[in-house]
Formats: sequence, C-alpha cells, structure tokens
Amino acid sequence: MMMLPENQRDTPVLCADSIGKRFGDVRVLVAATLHVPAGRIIGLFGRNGSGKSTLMKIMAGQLRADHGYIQFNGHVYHTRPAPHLLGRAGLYYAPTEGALSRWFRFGEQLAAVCKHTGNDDRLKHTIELFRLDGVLERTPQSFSGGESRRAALALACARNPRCLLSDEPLYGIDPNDREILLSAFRTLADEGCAVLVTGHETPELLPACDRVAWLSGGSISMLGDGRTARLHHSFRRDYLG
Amino acid sequence: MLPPQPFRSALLRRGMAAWIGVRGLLFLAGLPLQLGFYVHLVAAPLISAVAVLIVWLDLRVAREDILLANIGVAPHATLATAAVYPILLEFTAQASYLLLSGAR
Repeated sequence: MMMLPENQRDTPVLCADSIGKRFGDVRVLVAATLHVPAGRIIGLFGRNGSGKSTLMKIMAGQLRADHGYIQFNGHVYHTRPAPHLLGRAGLYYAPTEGALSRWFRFGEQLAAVCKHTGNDDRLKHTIELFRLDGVLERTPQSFSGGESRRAALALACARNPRCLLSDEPLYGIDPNDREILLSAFRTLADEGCAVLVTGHETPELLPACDRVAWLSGGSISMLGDGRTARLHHSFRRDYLG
Repeated sequence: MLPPQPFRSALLRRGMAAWIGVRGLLFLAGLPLQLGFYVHLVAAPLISAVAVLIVWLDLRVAREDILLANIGVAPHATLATAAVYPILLEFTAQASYLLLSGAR
C-alpha cells in the first residue's frame, strides 16, 4: 500500500460551500461549509437532528441542497451531482444502513467491487484488514450490526476511494469492532483518502480525528484536533455535556 | 458502464420476473375475453416500463442503487439492464399474438 507523502496531505478533495437545506418549515442547514482534505480524518459532530446526515447525503449527491455548491476532485457542482459520477471520480458513501446488497453473498460483492474498479490486488488485504474471513460465504441478511459495518467499510476500502463519507460507522458495535474500523480509517487516510465520519461515540472518535467539525445551528465550526475540541467551551457545554 | 456480475445477472432475472408478474396479473384480470386489449402497440412499452419500474423500486428498497453508484454504475445502465427481458419478452408476445391472430 502506498503512503501519502506528508506534503500532499491537506489538499482539499471534497468541499461543501454555503450549503442550505430546509425540510418544510425546519431549516436544517443554513450555510454549512466543510472541506475534507486528502490524508485526513474529519469528524463531523453535532446533536441529533443537527443535519450531519443531511449534509453528508448532499455531499454524496443523494439529496439536493437548496443553495450552495459541492466541489469534488476539482469539479464544481452547483446542482445535485449525480452519485455515479462522484462514484466514478472516487467518492464512496457509506450510509448508516444499506451499504450492502442483502441478496448476494458478501464475498461475491467484495470480489465484484474489486474487479469492477480495477482493484483486484486489494481483495486479500481488505479481508485481512477487516477480519472478514468468516462472513464471505454469508449474505448480509445474516450479519450482526458489527459485521454489517465492517463489511460495508470493507467494500469502501476495496474500492480504494479518494474520499470516504461514513455515516455513524461506530453506532451499536462492540469495542473490538470499533478498533478495527478506526484503524481502517487511519489506513485509508494514510493512503491518501479524505475521510469524513459522523457519530456520537466521542471517546473513540475524537482521538481518532485529525480535525473536528461541529455542526450547530445549521453551520459548521472547525475546532482543531480532538484534544483541542474537548477544550472548546461551547462544544463541551452544548454537545459533550 | 454496465453493472458488474453478479448484479447484472440478478437485474436480468428480476426484469424477467417482473414482466412475468405484470403480464400474469393482466392475464388473470382480463381472462379470457380482454386478452387482446393488452396486446397492442401502446400497451407494450407501458408494460415493459412498469416491469422496469418494479425492478428499480426493488433496487431502491434494497439500497443497491447506493452500492452501484459508489462503484460508478449509472442509473440508466441499471435500468437498461433491467429492461432487456421485459422488452424482449413483450416483443415476442406481441409478435406471437399478431401472428396467431393473423393466422385465424
């Protein structure tokens, strides 16, 4: 696996600029701006209903923003970008649920992703990284929550993405699986992938993030790394509790 | 860019199953007198479209559209794959009906 040189980190890969979104009378995002740079893990935090998943869906082209634009890989999208075009350019969106097909054996899906994206060499590495030897012959219907998350992110890793958006990857899984996922995020970031994760598992996520983004009142504040974020008064008072 | 295997075969199979389902329901609903009503040039693309729509909705419910988009497969490539059997079978049904009714 190729490591990204330190001087190439921090190049913005995915940017959301002045994103606004309203659902009926509820204004979820006002002017959210977020840059996800290569080789870094960005943690997007915020209270329930603050718009984290909405912003992630907009960045992945799954939802239309009311205003603002998305920039990925040098292309600016003023309207909703087609998800498959983002996918071709190297963006991988892993939602909380449903990143896997429930009908096919996981091994088939993994092999298909590797072959289709020209990353056959990553198959073995991915299985080892996510410790998935035991589930290759099973369909995702029979997976536990932790296995589902590991399998979903294994597909992302097999794709060798330029940018990974992972929505609540640690939700409801055991400490051992959390460790596997966090180390996989770090491996991807070291290879140059821009990683954006959301979640409320702050004891594990905050130390793992290179930068913390706090979504509150429809806009985003960048709080520095996990340690600095913990010292931020409003973040502590309004989110960490 | 067509969907990779095994997704492609599954889409083809689902397209065929959806067409058989739609046709079967129409057949049961119209049996026996109105069978001919469903076999004309306006109904043919409509029936194919309904079958493809069923496959697309099934794909959305199973969230496979996100997985396919993540690897760069366009929705129109997915729809085209799902449409192969409905169009083929519908064309065959139409041709058979016209030939048989012409023979009568």
